Order: sequence, then C-alpha cells, then structure tokens
Amino acid sequence: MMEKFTAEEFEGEKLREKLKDLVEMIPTQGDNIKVVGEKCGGCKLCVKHCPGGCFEMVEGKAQYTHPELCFECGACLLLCPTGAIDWSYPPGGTGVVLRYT
Amino acid sequence: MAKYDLVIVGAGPGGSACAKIATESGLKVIFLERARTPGEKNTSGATIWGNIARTIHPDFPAEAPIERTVDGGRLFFVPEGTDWEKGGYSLLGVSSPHKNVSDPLNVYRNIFDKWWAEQSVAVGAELKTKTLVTGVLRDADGKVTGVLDENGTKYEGSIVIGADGINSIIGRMAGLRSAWGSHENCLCCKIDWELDEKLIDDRFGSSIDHGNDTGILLEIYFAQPMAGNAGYFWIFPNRGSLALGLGIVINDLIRLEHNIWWYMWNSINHPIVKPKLKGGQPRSYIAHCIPLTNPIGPSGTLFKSYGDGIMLVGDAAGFVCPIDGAGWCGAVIAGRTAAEIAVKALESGDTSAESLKRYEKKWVDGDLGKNLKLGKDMADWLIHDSGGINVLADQFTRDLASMMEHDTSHEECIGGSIKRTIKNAQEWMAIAKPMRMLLGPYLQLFSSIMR
Repeated sequence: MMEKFTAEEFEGEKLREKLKDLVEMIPTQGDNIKVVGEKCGGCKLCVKHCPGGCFEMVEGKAQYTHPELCFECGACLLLCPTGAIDWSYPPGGTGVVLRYT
Repeated sequence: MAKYDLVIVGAGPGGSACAKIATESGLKVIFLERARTPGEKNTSGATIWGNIARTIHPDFPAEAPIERTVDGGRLFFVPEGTDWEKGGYSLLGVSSPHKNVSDPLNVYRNIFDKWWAEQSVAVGAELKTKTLVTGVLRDADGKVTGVLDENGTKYEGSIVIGADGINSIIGRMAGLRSAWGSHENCLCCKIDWELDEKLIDDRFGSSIDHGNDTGILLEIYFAQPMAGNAGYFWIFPNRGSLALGLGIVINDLIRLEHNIWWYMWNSINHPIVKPKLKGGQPRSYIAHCIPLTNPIGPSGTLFKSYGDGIMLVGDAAGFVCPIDGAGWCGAVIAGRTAAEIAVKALESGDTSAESLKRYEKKWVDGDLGKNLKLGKDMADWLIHDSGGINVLADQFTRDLASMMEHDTSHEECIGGSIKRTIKNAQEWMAIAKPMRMLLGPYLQLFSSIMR
C-alpha cells in the first residue's frame, strides 16, 4: 500500500533536519532576504512552501531565520501576497550549491 | 574601469553560447557568473540537445561530459484511487532506436555548464566567477553602458547581455520587465539519487550501446499524489545517479494542502517509483523556479527582450516552452542570436534600441519564436478544449519516439510534440477518446500549467 507521510515531516525543523546532510552550503552572510515586518500579513505561505524551510513565524510575522538552506529560488518573493519579501541573491561564490560527490 | 564590446551577465547555457560566438567573431567579451563555477547552482533535469549544441560547437559532443544518451521515454498517467496492487495504472511506454539526429543527451549541469563555459574561455572570452552583478550603468540618456558588481567594480560594455536566469536582476534594473507573477512560475525541486550504474542500465536502459554509455529512457509521471494534480514528477537517469524532479506552479502551491517536499517524498515512495530507486540513496537536493510564460503576445511581444545597449536571453527573457518547461535549447539559440546581432550592431557603430530591435525580430521570426508561439497556442487549445490533454498524452508518447527517428529541426525540438499535436488534433481525438476518463484529473494539471 501507498505509504503516506504527514505534512509535519516536511515543514519547519523536521524539513531542515532532513535537508541538512544533503545540501552543500558555501558560508554566506544570510542577509540576502528580509521580511518587511510591517507588510507581513502573517499568512505563513513562505513558512510552508519555502523549499529550504528558511522561514519561521516569530510573534505572528514571518522571519528569514535559516538562510543556511536558501536555494535562491525566489519562490518566497512570488508567494508573498503582500509584497513583504525584500529579495536579493547572496554574495557571489556563496550559498547553496548542488553537491556532486 | 575595464571596457568590453560585450558584457554578459550569467555563464549558463545562453551566456556561454553568446560569449563563444561573439568572441569568435572578434568581439572583446567578459561573462560574469555569481557561482564559484558555472552550473553549480543549477536544478535542471537535465537533458540537452546535441543538434543545438552543434550550432555552438560543430564537433559536439567530442570531449563533452555526457552522462547518458536518451533513446526515448515513458509517460505514466496515474489517476488518484488507482489500485496499485492489481496493477491498475496506465503506462504509455516508448522506446526507439536512437538515430543521432536531434540527439537528446543527459548531463550533469554542474559539470556540463563548467565545460560549456570553458569552451568559450578557450576561444578568448574572459570569465569572472564569484561575481554577483547588482546594478546596471547608464549614460545621461539612460542607455545601458555596463554593469556594477557587489564590490562596486564596474564593467563597461558597448552592449550588455542579461543571461542571468529567472530572477534576472539585469532585466528588471534595465526596466525591460517586472518580476514574474505567481501564475507564471513553476517551483521545481530536485534530488540527485545515487544508484549503481548497472542497476540504472537494468531499470532504465534502452539496451542500446552508444560507445561511451548505454542509452536510457526518461520517465515522466502525471500521478496523484505525486504532484497534487498540479505538476509532474520526472526521473532523468545519469551514469551513476538519477535526477528526480518535481515541479508545481506557484499559484497551485498556494492552494495545495502540502508543500513541494511532501509531494516529492510521496513521489519517491510511490509504489511505481520506489522499486526503481531501491539500492540507492539521496545525495543532494536543490530547488529553483522556472518561468512558464514567455514574451510572445497576441500581437507582438509582451515585454521587450532588448533596450538601449542591452539584450536578454534564456530564462531571463522567459524563453521556456510552456508545455514542458524546457529552456536549454531556447537559451542557446537566443545566446547565439544575440551574439550575431551584437556583431552587426558594433560593425555599424549603433548599439541603440533601434539597432538591437533586430534581435527581437530575429528570434520572434525564427525557430525560437515559432516554438514559443506554438507553446502558447497549445496552451489555449488545452484550456478551451478539454479533450486537448487526451490528444496530447497520446501524441506526446508517439513523438518521443518519432523525435528520435525523424529529422528534428531546431523549431521542433523545444516543444517537440506541439506542432504535430495541433495539426493532428482531430485524428488523435478519435483515438484518445477512451483515455478521456483516465486522464480527467490531469485536465486541471494542464490548465494550471498553461494559465
């Protein structure tokens, strides 16, 4: 039978734990993305859908708390309904890379 | 300040192709890459096309780092509620003898893109890596005259090429386009799944010996609950690993119950998929977005791919087939086209928008534009005629075979099935009718991708 997984296994801390050993990160400053607090409506879309699990809710607002897993995909920017994501790439030569060996 | 004829932002397939052609034509070229090496941040499957590669490297694939020759593919349509135990799913399989015409090849983009860029360096283009471009330079009239990196270093160029991918900073800074909308983008994630070469041969092999490799079949799954009826899951075999990918349109993600990793995990644990991965393990993960819209509009283009002193190529310009999300061919064709126009513009001493307008005309009228238009027409047809998906499913599997057997032009390679599908719609409709029920759930999938 089809093995079903719960949503919780792929969100937040559990997702980050799964990804940790499978993502190669060239150390970066981690300030490439900011959630503009006053614009954040607290919808949690970025928290749920960021493929690196980089966002967390802090006092009802999303915050970019785990830059170590940012894939620079831009999904948060596209998902955010209130335009609260201030987005840029991390500095050249840093950030997540696809590991080959 | 360094001064160049051409400053190219991005060393992906389009940027490097542009760099090589322009350098060979005598231009002084620099191409800038934000990663440590070209391709190391790539999420592509990845299949590239030998016939398109040969427009840049005539002796391709000599010495190119190729993983596998693609001899065909299998499409799986798996509706929700299917009884797996009884094998009650639909498999549409195709394999065909490879005849080396359009020549699809699987590569590791982080190795292949590095090699691809090195070929441009070998002819004299200057590559600067670890360099994030953060702005464009303009003269008093607003004409783009170069770019600026994060350290404040300026690169002055007679023409700037924005080949900087989906989140193109250049395209936005130059005022050519705004950021994409959530309906125009697909979020893709990829697992690189380590698996013994022999096991891959057994499970995905075509049994055709290509000298350096045994040919393989690609697999594409339209299946619940793999992608929540809103995308598709794919397996692209390499030599000693599988690229497992899943893409879902951002707008659909918003309405779906789970996030993309949940669908990915359910895909790799799906009863159809799981046995094929047995004995292997995940080695790496990455995620990225793909633009599913392109600049072709009902009359002319929706946004300009050129401006005063600037041209956009590849994902930065949205040159992606809206049916399957393939963008490699479009990027390479555009890179070459932009280089050719840059050479002409510099010869005439006019790099204004009026002069670079020829770039847009050339790609719109050429194979690339025809493909992008066909993709959009196809999307309309799929949305307005609910039978479209059935016809496509049927035709697509046939075309995976015929693409290998017939002479496939550039024009056809981006959306291989599209042209024939529209032409043969009526004919295939009759054949595909029994599949209508089976494919019902996937109407939503296609209409959402095409929206």
